[in-house]
Amino acid sequence: MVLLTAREVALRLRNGSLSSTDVVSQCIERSRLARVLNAFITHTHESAMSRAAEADRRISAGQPLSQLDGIPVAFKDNFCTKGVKTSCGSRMLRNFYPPYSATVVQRLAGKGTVMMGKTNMDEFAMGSGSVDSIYGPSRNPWSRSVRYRERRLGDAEPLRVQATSGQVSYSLPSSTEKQKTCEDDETLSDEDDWLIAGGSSGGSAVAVATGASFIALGSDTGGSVRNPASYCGVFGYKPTYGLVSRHGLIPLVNSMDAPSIFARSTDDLAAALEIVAGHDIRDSTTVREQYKPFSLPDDLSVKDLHVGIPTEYHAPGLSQGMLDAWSWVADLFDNAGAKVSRVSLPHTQYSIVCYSVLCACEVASNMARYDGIQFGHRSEQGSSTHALYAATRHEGFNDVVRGRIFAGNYFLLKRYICATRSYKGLGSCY
Amino acid sequence: MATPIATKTFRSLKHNFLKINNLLYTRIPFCKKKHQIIETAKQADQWQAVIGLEIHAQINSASKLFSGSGTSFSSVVNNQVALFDAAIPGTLPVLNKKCVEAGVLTGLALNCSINKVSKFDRKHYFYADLPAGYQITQQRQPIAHNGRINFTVFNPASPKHTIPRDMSVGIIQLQLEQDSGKSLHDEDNQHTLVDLNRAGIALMEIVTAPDMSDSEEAAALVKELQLVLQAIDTCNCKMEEGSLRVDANVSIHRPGEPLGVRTEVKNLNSIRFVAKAINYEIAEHKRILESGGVIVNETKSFDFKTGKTVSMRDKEMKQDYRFMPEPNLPPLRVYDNSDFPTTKKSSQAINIDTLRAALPVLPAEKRHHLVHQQGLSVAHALMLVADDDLMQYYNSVLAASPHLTPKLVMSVLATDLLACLYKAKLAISDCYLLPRLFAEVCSLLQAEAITTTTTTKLIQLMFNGETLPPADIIENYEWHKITDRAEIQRHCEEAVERNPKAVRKYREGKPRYFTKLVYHVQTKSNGCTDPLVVTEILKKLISEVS
Repeated sequence: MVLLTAREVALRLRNGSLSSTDVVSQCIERSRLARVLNAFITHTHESAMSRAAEADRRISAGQPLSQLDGIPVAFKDNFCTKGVKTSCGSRMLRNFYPPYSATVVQRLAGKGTVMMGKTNMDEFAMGSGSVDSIYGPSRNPWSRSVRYRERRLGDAEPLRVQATSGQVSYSLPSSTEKQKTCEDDETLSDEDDWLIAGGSSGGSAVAVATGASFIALGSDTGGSVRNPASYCGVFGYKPTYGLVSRHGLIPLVNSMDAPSIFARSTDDLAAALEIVAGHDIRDSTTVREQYKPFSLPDDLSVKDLHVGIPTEYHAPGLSQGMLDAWSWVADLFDNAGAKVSRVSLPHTQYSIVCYSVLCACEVASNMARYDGIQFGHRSEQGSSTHALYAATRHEGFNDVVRGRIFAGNYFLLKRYICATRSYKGLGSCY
Repeated sequence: MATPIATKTFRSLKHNFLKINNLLYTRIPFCKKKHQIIETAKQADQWQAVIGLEIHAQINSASKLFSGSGTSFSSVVNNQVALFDAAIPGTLPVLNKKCVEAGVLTGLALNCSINKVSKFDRKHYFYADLPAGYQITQQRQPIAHNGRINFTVFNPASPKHTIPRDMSVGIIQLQLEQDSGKSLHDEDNQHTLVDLNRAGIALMEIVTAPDMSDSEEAAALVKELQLVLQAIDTCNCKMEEGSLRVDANVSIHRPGEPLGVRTEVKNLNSIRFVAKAINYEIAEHKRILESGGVIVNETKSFDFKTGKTVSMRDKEMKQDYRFMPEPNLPPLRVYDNSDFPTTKKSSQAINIDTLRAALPVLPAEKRHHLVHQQGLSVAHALMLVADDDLMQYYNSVLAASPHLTPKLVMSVLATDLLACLYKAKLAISDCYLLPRLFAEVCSLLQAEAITTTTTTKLIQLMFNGETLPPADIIENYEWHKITDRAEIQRHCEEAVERNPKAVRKYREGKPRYFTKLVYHVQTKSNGCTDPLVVTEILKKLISEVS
């Protein structure tokens, strides 16, 4: 059941062959089985069950709130959820229970979705592996797959991916096999024998990949949803900046963050997007135009699509597997009737430098509020206000965060304006 | 006594010819008292002060600049704090339209150019009353710039400013920014208590050009700014409540030399303190430089108990605010009639021209009208425009009796009525003498039915509760003006007769004895004689008698 898409489950909920309570219970069980992967920081199973019951009442009365009424969702732990711990994977916010919920959380809740919990992430979204959290790293579910184990034993068969009409299917070990593996070793026998989930929204990716949730929200600034999506074999979609409200998303880079969606099908992505997208008066950077919902047609035609592949993206060090995947996708589009051409983005090499500078600057600024006065961790040392600040921030942040704050402050003293100009230049290339 | 001073002056002549320039043309008196005058004159010649002000005016909007919480003054501690004001993670700023309108209106009232596009920045520093660790302000591109404020410098209590003088000071820019919270330092318990009610309230920071050269000019500018802001109702300007605060930048230099290092005195919250602090600071600069010291660019606060300025910040650490554009706020756009968008809902966009048309009559214009159309003196015009209630009373009097000369009305108002109010410790708004009754008194004076002395007595009686109409009071007390010259003549003759000593002294060339004679006549006639006529007759008598 859990490998069905949300859309398919929704159909079954409406025709009565499944109930939301069933679905949620099964997701809870999947989550328990996969707990060694450490996808969740906080579980909200009790409230999930009661919300599932409410959804069942609505659906049986013929009044579902939306297509996704009764469907489990999960949120990365940097989305504020009222009354539920929101830690950003950091000691600094380990005791932070927000007094409000993010707009995306409110919108999804308002349409009947059921929150399963808060997922693990790199501390304050700084990282691309989901390994830098005070709650430990999140592990890629594929580290437990038969195929991976076979490869590790030397049997090298390239991974095969099949895509048909917007749905990815992959051969997972049969459920019994997987269960056996999990029960045999409750904890990983070899602590090093696991793959990263990608990040910084790794927990959400794992939650969707393991069936603990159907849809999960993450935040993508420099690939933090697309990256773990690809590592965990699920869809990850980053909307254009300004489409989805950031009110309630604890920011990394205010000018680049985008609340993004994980799902196991593109239809689910579209359904979730419809609920969360659109102008929010509490976020002045959201576009004002009315959001126009769409549905993907079953017989999608790409005949009028022109796809450009930048030559510069064939970067040195790219693995053969990646190159093959690119070629394969290019052929796919070509065969389907799209026009595929080579393009050039000559300033690509500067993009990462630009991003690093801008990111560090915004981080230094956004992290200035963590001083232990109004909320969050507060150090015991308090000989003076400044001593309190210094100790609190040293204790509350890990090396990565502190490193970026230092770099950011340095850049703000000197180079911010240059970086923004380059950033704009890069954008115009697109 | 003479020799030391002469030597001193001579030595100075040798060493610094220029300094003594002015003194060469005045008599150099050889007496003890005037010695000090020479010294101060010498010093005064040397230094020129340069003063610029940064004024923070709280916008009187119902909610804060970027959040919806309230802005009332004495609210319970930490009860007007939105999540954004406390910098709760994930919250974002949402710009308050009323605040932008206030900024534009104020910019227009100060003759500024309004920037159609302005931007917000973050100014970073760590302090307990700044929850986010940065203040949102408009450093790069503020809402208005390049304005001017015109005012009159006049303070009868200050020797250098007894004659009204017009002055014009440039406004460099006007920017919108957040106010910080309040911290109260409890030294005894080693605590700092933080109240965030004020955090996030909208401020207009008005930066003047350093065009002023003494404290009275600065005080006059602040007073005029108060009147302007109150007239357009963008700030209630209650300095005692902190809704208007002044920072003064002061430096001194010798004419012809480059500008001196400046110091900044922050958070002056009364006009009196502005003048005092600037005076003290100028004197401090002089003292330091003349004793061979160097001025350090530092921030100071004014201790009103001691009347001195004290250094505020750590001298070693120079603050770098690491300015950064505020990424959560798109550029602020305002429009005028030429480009007002038709697609946008009118409730969203701001039209500069609409606001300009809605500007009320400003103080300078009111004063101009009073002086040029109604014939009042500059001093009286200043007095009226500075006090709304007084202006209202004055206008009511004129409305009650339109035939009255404004100058006459103002004269009686300023001399007699205000004296009564001052004595009774009342404000004009508490005055129980109704404008129309006051107008009746003025009419009697204008018709020359009574003298100015009688007017004073009449006003006092009526102020203190006399309910009879003025005409009846005059009847009862027999206060009609004496117009019969013969009668006046009789009084004058009596005065001359009864005061031979005064007459003699007057003839010897001591004018103040004449007053005694006039006084005699006035007393005997119960103040009902015209002093000019009395003077004329007395003088004639005295010249005849000899």
